[in-house]
Amino acid sequence: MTHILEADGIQLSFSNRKILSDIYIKCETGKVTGLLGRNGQGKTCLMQTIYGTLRPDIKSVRFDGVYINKPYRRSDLLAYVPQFNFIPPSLTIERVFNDFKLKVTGFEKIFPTFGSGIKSQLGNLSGGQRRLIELYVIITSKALFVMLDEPFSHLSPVQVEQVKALITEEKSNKGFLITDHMFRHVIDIADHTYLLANGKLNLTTSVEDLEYLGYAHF
Amino acid sequence: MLLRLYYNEKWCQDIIRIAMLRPTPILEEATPIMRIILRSLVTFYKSFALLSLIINVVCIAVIVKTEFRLFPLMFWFKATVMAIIFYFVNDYKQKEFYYYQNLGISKNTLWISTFGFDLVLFLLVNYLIYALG
Repeated sequence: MTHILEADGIQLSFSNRKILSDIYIKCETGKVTGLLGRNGQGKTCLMQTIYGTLRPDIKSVRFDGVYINKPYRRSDLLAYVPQFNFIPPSLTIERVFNDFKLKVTGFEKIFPTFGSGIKSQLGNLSGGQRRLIELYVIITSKALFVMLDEPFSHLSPVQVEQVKALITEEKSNKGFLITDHMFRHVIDIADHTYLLANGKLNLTTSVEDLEYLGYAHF
Repeated sequence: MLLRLYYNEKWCQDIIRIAMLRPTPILEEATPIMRIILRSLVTFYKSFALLSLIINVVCIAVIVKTEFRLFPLMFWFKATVMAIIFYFVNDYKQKEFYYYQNLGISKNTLWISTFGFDLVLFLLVNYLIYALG
């Protein structure tokens, strides 16, 4: 059964500057949705609005047509990786995996060259290693939809490919919304891509659209 | 009412049987979830537990020394320090709240549970000292 996450009617402004005004975004389970846009266009704001941690003047976020006011309270419905490290640095890898009810063996199988023991604290890992743990636990979590804000930052090219493969594998039972400035990777795995420009969300059908809307040159 | 009407029907008995079966897996799931929530609350509480403990010891020492005459003052001192803790922890742990939210634990749950525990502990120790001595 396909599940749908929709967000629209969002009106967000900061000190008379409209950030989001003409928004309709739809994510489906089994699909990866890309979200692109230049710096300061409101991609993170849109994700935080969908997650419920940012409260705009007006918004409508629906799961299968049912309005949910604070989706962050429903970890079974929606999980979110922000663009910064969010796992407390004092926690060990083992503890984080236990919290998310995941097995470390699954992680070691996908990332065999990870190189740190499960008793290591997150604060003692490198930026890339820490990011990898955060991505893995959220991507493989039980949530129906997963939002990833700049998932490929801090990762090596090999790790980026591994994460892309993991997303492609996991999308069979969940929906993804991904934004990253490494747009080629996003386009590569996305089933459809939105471009956020001047507060408006445009559904793009080809890379020419991105060029036409002034986002990238090919 | 509907249940009584159709109780003898096979489909109705099937539904009742399934409903009776459902609580078992839910209960099995509940224990690890509660454990994760409690563990997360302890992790969050640790971020300001030491400071809170020091304040508690200082307040209780003053209260005992003055034979409970300064209890109201110390209570409001404790409440003010808690408000300052709230302000600073909310700021410097801002990013980590996403971890707890991804586990289904909201900011409100974190604060109400940890502050509630801290305050109850403070009042309980005061009461015990008052009752015993």
